Amino acid sequence: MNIAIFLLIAGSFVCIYPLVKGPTGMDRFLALVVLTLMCAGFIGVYAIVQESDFLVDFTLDTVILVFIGAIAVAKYMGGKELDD
Amino acid sequence: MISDLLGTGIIILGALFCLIGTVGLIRFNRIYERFDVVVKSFGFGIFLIMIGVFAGEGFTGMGMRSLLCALFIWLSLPVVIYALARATHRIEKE
Repeated sequence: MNIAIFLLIAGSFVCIYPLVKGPTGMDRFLALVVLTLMCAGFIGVYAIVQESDFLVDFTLDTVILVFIGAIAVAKYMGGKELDD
Repeated sequence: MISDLLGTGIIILGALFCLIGTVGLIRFNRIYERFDVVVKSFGFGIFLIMIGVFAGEGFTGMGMRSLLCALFIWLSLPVVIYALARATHRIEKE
């Protein structure tokens, strides 16, 4: 289980590089989405380490937050309002 | 015992998929290739991690909620990446 935590943390540190570098705003937002998904996976692994029941709820919340936030940012960057 | 071992193996495989997807994220040049590698690698990687949590816990409340999370990410990540790619295409066309 420590191997999985190490792999996820190493991937998160690699993911900071396109977050800083990316030429357009969409590249940076894509790296942010990836970072949040990795955080969701890390919380899932950490819940099974801690045997904690309500940490799994945080994974579900994080995934729903990624969904709503990414839809909103896609609408915003596409140059349209939220209701059309 | 055997379910714990199986769950740990599946979780390590999913974390490896996530790491490989991150390497693909910094190696590809065009943004559509990056969208492609994110929707394939991270969808399958986080899905495998959640299936591993379910395999370690069994049919308890925690296991069922992780299975729900796996189902939701399997359905919602292609929609998210499709919306972002559509917005990118609309920006580039202008």
